[in-house]
Amino acid sequence: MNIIKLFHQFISPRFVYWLSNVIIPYVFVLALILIAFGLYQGIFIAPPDYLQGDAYRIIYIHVPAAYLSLLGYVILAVSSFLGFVWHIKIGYYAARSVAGIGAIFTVIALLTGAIWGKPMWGTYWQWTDPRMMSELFLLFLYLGYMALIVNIRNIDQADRVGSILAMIGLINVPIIHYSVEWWSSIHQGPSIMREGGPSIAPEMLYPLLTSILGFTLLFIFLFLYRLNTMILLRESGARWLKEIIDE
Amino acid sequence: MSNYWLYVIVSYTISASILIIFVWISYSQRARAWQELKKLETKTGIIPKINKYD
Repeated sequence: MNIIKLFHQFISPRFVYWLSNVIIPYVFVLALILIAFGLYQGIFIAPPDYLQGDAYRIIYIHVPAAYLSLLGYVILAVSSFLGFVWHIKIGYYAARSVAGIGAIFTVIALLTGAIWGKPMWGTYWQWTDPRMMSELFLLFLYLGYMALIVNIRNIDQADRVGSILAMIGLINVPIIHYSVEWWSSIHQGPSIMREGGPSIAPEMLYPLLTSILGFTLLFIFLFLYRLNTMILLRESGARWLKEIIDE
Repeated sequence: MSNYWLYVIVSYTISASILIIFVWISYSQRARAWQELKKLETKTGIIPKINKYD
């Protein structure tokens, strides 16, 4: 089987529907185990921070949520690109499926960041802070995309217009990541993905990495689950789907 | 127990609630889509294309 044929099979809604149905339960169970283990280690086993005390434990939910809010947008933009440029149907389905998940993780990142900010910085929110504002802008991009696709009556047109917004908005992702380096911010700099390796003590870092992995799997579960629903709705006239329903 | 724990507990409670509600919404959307397909198929013998989204 040549690579193009394999690619075409991989992007067919029927194959994605079948594959996602097979792996969804395993991803979900593994996600729950890793999240439970990571959070247990982070909340009960890891020592308190010398400066922030126990407040730093918000990191075990804030960091995965913030990272997944960015990952979600990258997937949204890349899927939109696949749909818009190469007319790959599954690209549009994936974009629609991931937008809500990305928005949810952005909300969690913003809320947990604000709650963490109060004891550490003395304020829930700082309107002039580049990291907070660029993350808030990310939420508006997600909401804007979702508002566009549900309010344009013609589905194909909605897909195309939404894709343009999604692709343009990708510029915000590096801005969020580098905002703490490019501009003056009350938000701390990178502690994991930085030159010279992570600056966090191993007993705090390993639960964090476990938590990140667990939430990433939860993200994948939600993505596949919603993609599955999207395929059911969009492919509802297809013969292969009728065969599945008849079974 | 320091005052900081309150912030930790509130953060985790809010995040867990949001995620649980979202998982539930995703589950019910899929169940509804599946039910609708079944219903349409039983009625007509064919599955018409559904042009709507939640």
